[in-house]
Amino acid sequence: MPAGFTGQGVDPLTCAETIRILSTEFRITSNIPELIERLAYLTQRAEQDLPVLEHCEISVQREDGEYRISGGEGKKDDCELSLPMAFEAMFARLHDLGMRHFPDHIRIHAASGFGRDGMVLLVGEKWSGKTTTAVHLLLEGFEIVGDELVLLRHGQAVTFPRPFYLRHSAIDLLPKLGGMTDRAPFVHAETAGKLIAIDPLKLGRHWKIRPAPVGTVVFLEPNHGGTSSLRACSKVEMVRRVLAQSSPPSSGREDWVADFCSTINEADTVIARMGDLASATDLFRRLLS
Amino acid sequence: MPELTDASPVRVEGLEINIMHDGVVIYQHDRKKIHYLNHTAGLVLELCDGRHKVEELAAIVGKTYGLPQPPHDDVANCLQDLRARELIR
Repeated sequence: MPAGFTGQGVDPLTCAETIRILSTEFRITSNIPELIERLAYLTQRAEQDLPVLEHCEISVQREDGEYRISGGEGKKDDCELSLPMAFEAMFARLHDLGMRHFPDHIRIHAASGFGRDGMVLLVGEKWSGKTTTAVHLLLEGFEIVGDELVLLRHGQAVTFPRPFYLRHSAIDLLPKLGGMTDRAPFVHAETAGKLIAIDPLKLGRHWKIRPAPVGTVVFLEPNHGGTSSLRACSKVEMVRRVLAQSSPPSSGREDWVADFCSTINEADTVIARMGDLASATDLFRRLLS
Repeated sequence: MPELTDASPVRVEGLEINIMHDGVVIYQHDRKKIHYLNHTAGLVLELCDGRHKVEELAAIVGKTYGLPQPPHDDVANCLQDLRARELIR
């Protein structure tokens, strides 16, 4: 019987699962056991130190050869022809609904964690090694809480909770993962190939999502084959680099650039040339501990 | 075109000026465009309030940075750049 299968009080052919994303708690019901099983890919059980503002029912039903995804105030039903497409549509719906309570937040594409002065953002262009670095630091004992998205408003940042999605090709760089990746859920992404969902809790790490001021912003530059090094980065240059990895608030609030600049101005700003991970550990330990 | 020394340049409206520790970030709301300036260019932009003539701008910049002579050419070039970016008129 799949995880999440409920035998009491509901249709015996219906599975259910509960997922918390920031201030929204979702209850997902489906007559497709495989879908509930695949939720392991996006389900996270991070502690989230934010108030629950909304309970939302999402339904995914197989009807007459198609998949109907419904639920969420103001959202029209989606109909998909395959399970993977239904899964993606449901994922997008959860993401949209989870973000609804954060319309004024700037979205920064960054890995994130906590250091001595508050939140640490690890920003970089695509393929710069954000997730690999994040998982490495997690394995080395740093408190890393996300690998993808950070929401920022008035200097306070909060990590969007989701598992870390590590490229299969990066596993060899992270021997401390051991055999856990053999058992971890995974998907195949069009451009990135096989992605392994890494859950910090399953690595025995503390995983607590909470708002905090931004203390340090690190911009990652790849230096494949070399050693890792850090150098200071001017505030204006860091604004330029990080803005390129950010999106304005969906509300369109007018002071978002000022908010962004003020946050960068108050944070330590560093460029990390990422070579071998072993030499990076000591650098990050000095920077963040 | 060289800046006319008796002209009084004016910042365009709708600029958000963010002073950073090592420069200035300008957000132009109507064009949704961001400009990155050093502190000197930021100072020149701030002084473009329609009340200072170009030669006065050079004098103020020179005094602010303790220069022996007002940097007329540098200020003229800066104004040209600001005008090209449509930050002043």
